[in-house]
Amino acid sequence: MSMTPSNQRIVSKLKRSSIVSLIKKGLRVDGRKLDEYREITVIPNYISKAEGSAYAKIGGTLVIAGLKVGVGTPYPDMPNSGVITVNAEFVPFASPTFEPGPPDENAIELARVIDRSIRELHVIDLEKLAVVPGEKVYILWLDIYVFDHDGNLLDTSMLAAITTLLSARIPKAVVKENGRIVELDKEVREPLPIMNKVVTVSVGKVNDKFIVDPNIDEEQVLDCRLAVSLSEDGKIAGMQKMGSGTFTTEEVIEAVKLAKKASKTLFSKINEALKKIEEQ
Amino acid sequence: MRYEKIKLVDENGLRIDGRKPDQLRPVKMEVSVLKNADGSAYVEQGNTRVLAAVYGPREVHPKHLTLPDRAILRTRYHMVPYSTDERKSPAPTRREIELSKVIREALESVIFVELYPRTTIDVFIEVIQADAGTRTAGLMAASLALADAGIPMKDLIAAVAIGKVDGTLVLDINQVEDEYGEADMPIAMMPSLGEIVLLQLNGVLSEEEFYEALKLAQKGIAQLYEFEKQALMKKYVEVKVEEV
Amino acid sequence: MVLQAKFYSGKIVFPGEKLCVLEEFMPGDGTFEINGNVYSKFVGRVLYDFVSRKVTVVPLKKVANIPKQGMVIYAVISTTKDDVAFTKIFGAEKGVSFSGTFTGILHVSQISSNYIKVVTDAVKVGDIVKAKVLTSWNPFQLTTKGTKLGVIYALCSKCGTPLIKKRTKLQCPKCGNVESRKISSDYMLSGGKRS
Repeated sequence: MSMTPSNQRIVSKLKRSSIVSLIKKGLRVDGRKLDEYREITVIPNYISKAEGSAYAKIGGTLVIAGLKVGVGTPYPDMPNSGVITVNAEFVPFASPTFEPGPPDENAIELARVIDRSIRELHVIDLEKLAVVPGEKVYILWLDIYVFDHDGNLLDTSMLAAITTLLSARIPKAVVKENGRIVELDKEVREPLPIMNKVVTVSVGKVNDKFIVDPNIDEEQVLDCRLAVSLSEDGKIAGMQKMGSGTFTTEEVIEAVKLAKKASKTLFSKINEALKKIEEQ
Repeated sequence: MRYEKIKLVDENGLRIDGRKPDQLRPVKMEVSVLKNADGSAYVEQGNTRVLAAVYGPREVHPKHLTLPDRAILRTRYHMVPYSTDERKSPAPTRREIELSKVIREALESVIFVELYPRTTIDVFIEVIQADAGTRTAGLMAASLALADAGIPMKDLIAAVAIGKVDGTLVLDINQVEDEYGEADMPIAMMPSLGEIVLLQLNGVLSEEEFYEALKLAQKGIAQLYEFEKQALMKKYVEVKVEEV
Repeated sequence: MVLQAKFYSGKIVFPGEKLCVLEEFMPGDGTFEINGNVYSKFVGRVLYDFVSRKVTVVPLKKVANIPKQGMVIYAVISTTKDDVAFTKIFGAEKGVSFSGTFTGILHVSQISSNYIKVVTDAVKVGDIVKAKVLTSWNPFQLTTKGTKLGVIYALCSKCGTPLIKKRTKLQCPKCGNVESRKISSDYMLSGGKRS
């Protein structure tokens, strides 16, 4: 059962009204422009034990994603495709409002939005991940862990997730005994069959203005927000209205345009980070 | 099986069930179908059948969940085990948890929650037969049930899922189109105020296609809104006869 | 009358239906206003009042209700302490009903205008009281001060038989036990027959 949250962070009324009145003037509390991201840090291969990983930080929000790989049986409705499972956890120390326990509705929503965007845009060619078609396929577990919450978890998580996939080096599967046994050879590593890149941009609505990358205080005053997943060539790969307010049709169109513009920042950060590790 | 490609739109531009791309499935709506609930509704769209019920505003247990300035809203979207081709476990799945959340957020902007402080309004949606578009049908049933419960609302909610199949944008997708199509975009609006309360996109669309899909959705929503009004009207006309 | 045709009272309207603009009629009960437009909150019949220039919507079915300040409600006593009784409010006058029950609190000082030492001298667990709501907050503060307010139905604390009103006391018709209560003038059983 989904419930109106009652343990919200408390933001002082004064701060609230100053955030709103500043946005009305086209300004923000931390001096950014309305369509500007906070400082973005992306470090691929942050965890050496994982087959792929990334450290992503937008402002104070810290997310580390990791990829673990196994071999298993495919889903009966997709026997020739590898399997990818996305899971997100909000670590209790990341925010005073997070509590221990299984992922709550926010974590599940976040994981599912990321999962859908990756799946629908065919970021990974899952059919190439079949080792013995119909029998044995690669299984990818993408785990997204939020360690510090300073607003905009979704964009940060997606940034970590996509960088993880792009930089992953998975062990080669070796088929033995006529395909009955498949082992992973950890010595031989190869990249994932990547077809597309995707990022998610959260656009928040405050009265009639739109802001990109809301920080934690701004999140409290948002009417609602629209998360738009975009491919590098500007296709919309997923969308989710989050929060309890409303958009008019014109506002949605405006938000999508703004998201498209802002997505370039994220892609350039990803490409920059990937280039750096390739040079090494 | 997924790998045998099905033709979803034929050479005449008709869909797999014979509909035109901008045609809704047959709709049936009924209000006040349950005895106990404060408000209830039944919505049928093609093979999708959904029941919704509302309780409240009522006292919240445990008490610490209350909010001092408004009612809290609790929603549960649930699919019964026999609603799908394969039995679905009755335990809530990740999908149901997410949908409960987006449905709650859609309803929060419609109800005047501030009129009932320290109470809860509970909305339950049970999908009894699933054939795509269950969240949109569920949301419509929920809004009818809320109106039936006499809860003050800004507007009714009309909702529809737009799909992209074989490169064509189609209105109100069915299960086959959902499974084999390229995109699925559920959208819910307050029809007379023109506000979008739920918007999800599962699939890939170009920017132009997305704008086109929004337009198509509005067309479907306008029709569904009329059905909703008829359903409410029908119920009250019947009540009037009884009174005489 | 030509002017009135646009604003035809008695028409059935739906939530979100635009009724008029603010300059034409002021929003009354059952309506709300956004950006100068007045809309309906309920499924109901619209009423345009040309004298006070006010538009209201009369709901066709019951309206979702919660106890409000000043409302006269019916409640059953669930627990008592020395100075306070906890009650469950289950309905109100004029057939108003609620969804489930709401907690009401009856403090010893609010039971009667006479001095009452402990709550159980005036109300006991299981009694049904008619009371007035003092606050609009849950838990609702109640009062039974006033002749019409107080216990309207009580059971014998010895044998459980409904008590009958005998002047200012309640008596059990079965075991003859006499009990004291803050009795409402609307007490349901008197003189051996149901009134």
